[in-house]
Amino acid sequence: SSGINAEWPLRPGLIDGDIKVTQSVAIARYLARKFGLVPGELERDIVRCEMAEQEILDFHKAFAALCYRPKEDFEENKPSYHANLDLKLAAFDKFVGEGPFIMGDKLTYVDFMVYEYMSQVRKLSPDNVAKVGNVVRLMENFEKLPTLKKFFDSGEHQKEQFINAPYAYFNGKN
Amino acid sequence: MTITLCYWGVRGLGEPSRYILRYSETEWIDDALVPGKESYVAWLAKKHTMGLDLPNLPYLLDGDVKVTQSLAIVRYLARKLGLVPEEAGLVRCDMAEQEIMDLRTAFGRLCYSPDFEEKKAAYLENLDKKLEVFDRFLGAGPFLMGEKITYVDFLAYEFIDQIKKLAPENVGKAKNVSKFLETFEKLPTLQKFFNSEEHKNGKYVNSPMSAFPGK
Repeated sequence: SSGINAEWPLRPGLIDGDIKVTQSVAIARYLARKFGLVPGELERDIVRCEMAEQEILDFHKAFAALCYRPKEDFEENKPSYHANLDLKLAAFDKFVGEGPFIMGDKLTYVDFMVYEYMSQVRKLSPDNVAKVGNVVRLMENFEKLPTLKKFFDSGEHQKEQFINAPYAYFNGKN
Repeated sequence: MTITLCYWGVRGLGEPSRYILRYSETEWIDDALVPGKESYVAWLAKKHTMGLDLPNLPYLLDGDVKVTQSLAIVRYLARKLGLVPEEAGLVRCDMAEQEIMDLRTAFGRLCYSPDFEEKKAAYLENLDKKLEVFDRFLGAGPFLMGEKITYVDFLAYEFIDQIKKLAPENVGKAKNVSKFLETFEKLPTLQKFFNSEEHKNGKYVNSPMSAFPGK
């Protein structure tokens, strides 16, 4: 795209001075390192963080795969999607535990991924997400973060906006 | 205590980790489950009893450490075995990692699609575009991070080799990629594996039940 001489002609793209990053996970990890939203040096913490990162991406992939199906397939696949979602949510809820965040007291980049992607999943499947108390609590904790308060208070995040591309069968606005 | 990697006896998402373990000449156990209902039922019975935080296949056991999610396993082994880039290389490495995962995801989606034949042409057209960009990104190499081999080379080799089973001409058009595959196949500590019966017999890429098992 014009003006972005990134190594991939892909969106999203981040430009930070000389540094150009594409691939959403690469961007998240870059910003995490820059802003100290990393799990620290202990191997067991890094492992936990990276497992969480991959697990939340699996939630998002399954969600997106359903949403972009044509109508008949969407309706046909929704029950099995929900059955699998419940199993995965139960395991994830146990993993999250008391929190307050994925890595306990320390906020890391995976909390941002969990908040956003779980919010998207919740748009389609509010009852399923409501059942998992630890996940719900983590999302509430996220919404109370002081430096995000301005954004959450503005109501902008509650405005109807597209989660997926407008042409997706479930685009988050329909 | 010996490292154990447990996964289906197919290449799938587990093979990059297997290559890393072979390359490092570490002692490890390749706990490969025979694809099929019997193994699946046995796995379901055992899944929640193993102390895995997020039970799934593949899983890796290394003493007290228990890892699931194939990419978390690869990255764990990379840190353990020195297959990580320098700090300054992390952006490039992360981008390469994700791009390769995208290639694998698209390939997997096609191979497991009930509409495999109908979707193949569009997949190949997109593959060509992606490979062209990836080829430019890889450049002269020899590896993705230049001189130093890192874990993304194991992801790239295995997943592109899988794709090559389906689309040899398309991969063949990417010259730097083709050279990279050859370079990887000459790695000294992998010669034992490449010359083995296991490798020569071949292994399913995907589930035998998929539209493209790829053996």
